[in-house]
Amino acid sequence: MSQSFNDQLIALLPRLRRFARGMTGAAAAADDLVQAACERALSRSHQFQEGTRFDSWMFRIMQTIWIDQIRARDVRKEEHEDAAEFLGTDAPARQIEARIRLGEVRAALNTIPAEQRAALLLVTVEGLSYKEAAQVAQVPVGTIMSRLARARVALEERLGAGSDRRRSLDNAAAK
Amino acid sequence: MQQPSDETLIAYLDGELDAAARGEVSAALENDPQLRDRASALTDSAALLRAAMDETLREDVPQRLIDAARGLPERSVIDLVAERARRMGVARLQQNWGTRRFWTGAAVAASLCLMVGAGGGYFAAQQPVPAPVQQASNPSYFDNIAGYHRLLINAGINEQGLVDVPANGDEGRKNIQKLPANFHLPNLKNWGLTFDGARYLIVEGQPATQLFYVSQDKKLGSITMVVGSTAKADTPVLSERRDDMNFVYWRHAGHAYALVGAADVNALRSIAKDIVAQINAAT
Repeated sequence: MSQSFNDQLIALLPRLRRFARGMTGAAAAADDLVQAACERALSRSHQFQEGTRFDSWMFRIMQTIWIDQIRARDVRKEEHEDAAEFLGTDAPARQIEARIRLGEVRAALNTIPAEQRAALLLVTVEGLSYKEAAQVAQVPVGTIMSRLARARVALEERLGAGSDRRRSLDNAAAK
Repeated sequence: MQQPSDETLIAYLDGELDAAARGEVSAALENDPQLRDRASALTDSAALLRAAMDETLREDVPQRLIDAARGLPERSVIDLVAERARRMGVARLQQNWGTRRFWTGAAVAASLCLMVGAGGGYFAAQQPVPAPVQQASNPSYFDNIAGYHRLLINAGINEQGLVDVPANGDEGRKNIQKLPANFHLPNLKNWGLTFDGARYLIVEGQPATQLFYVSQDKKLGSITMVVGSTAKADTPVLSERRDDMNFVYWRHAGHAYALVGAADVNALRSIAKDIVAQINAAT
């Protein structure tokens, strides 16, 4: 095991956590997933091909583990941390609103099917090309394109619906 | 051209179309305000998603993940029992030795072998004679015993797997038969304390046992008793306070004892004297 392999892995941890948080929707489960992925990556480091994208290789490992866990029903839905994380804070109202909004985004993300969510995270958040995302998911580019489009539309609709609902509540409260 | 599909529009926004297709979508956007609104909404929602997910990047990475990336084997993601124990102040908690669970106090500096009861004990018959017990005043020893005590209080004695020998019930009767015939359980009912279970421990690789007593008296609270062997001379009952816990400890007839609880230190001292009297009467 080369030192650079461990160093690459450590440097990638924040992004791995971000991807895992998006996939699992819960902080503890996300970190468990990252740890499992690290352990698997280290045990299979010889399979990594120098010159290819290390982040894509790790995302593929994480997605494989996550899908396996879902299929094995080994995943317990944990409470989402977003609901409470801004309660009791003395942050200015605008910051609180922003955090609520970001919490809504994460909640909307959690309603999207796992495979679509993975495509969304890989392309829109992690910045992979369609081709790279297809390699991670091990599906044709057309499949990624389709999953991504459904995910983006679903996200936009849910966020739009949330905005409309909030406006309606605000209007009702103002009357 | 016809209005582009969602797939095409999104691929355009992601820069994934070839030049010809890109030109067609650009032309459609120029001529269709509704399509522009649609593209704008999709762009905004993607930006919101990135902002929401980027919050994770600003968090500190947990040490256990750094250790995992370095290939350090000690920490296990699925050892939730250990994680719970860590949160409650116990260094490590692990499952092994058949169906029992044993705690390993990794941070314990003391070398302990704690045995139950007077006049010998269960582990003495099964284990090599351990190294002499260190002074009970060792800070790490106290911290770990206090950690075990808090763990049981916080988790509750009925938490599955926390107690190896329940106080009652069929399972309890079956398990308690595993204890040695000469096991003497201190009777603390005069103090309002009821035995509520025992737990086998491993401290620094040595077997140990913790006895847990509960009380309805909130002033007294729950008490943990640990008993170990020692080659050192007897001592009087000594006491120490650490954080919110009082400790009384003494050595008597080849055994080291400690009582831990939030109770008043004088109450613990009185209970200790009663235990000494019971042990003397039994031997």
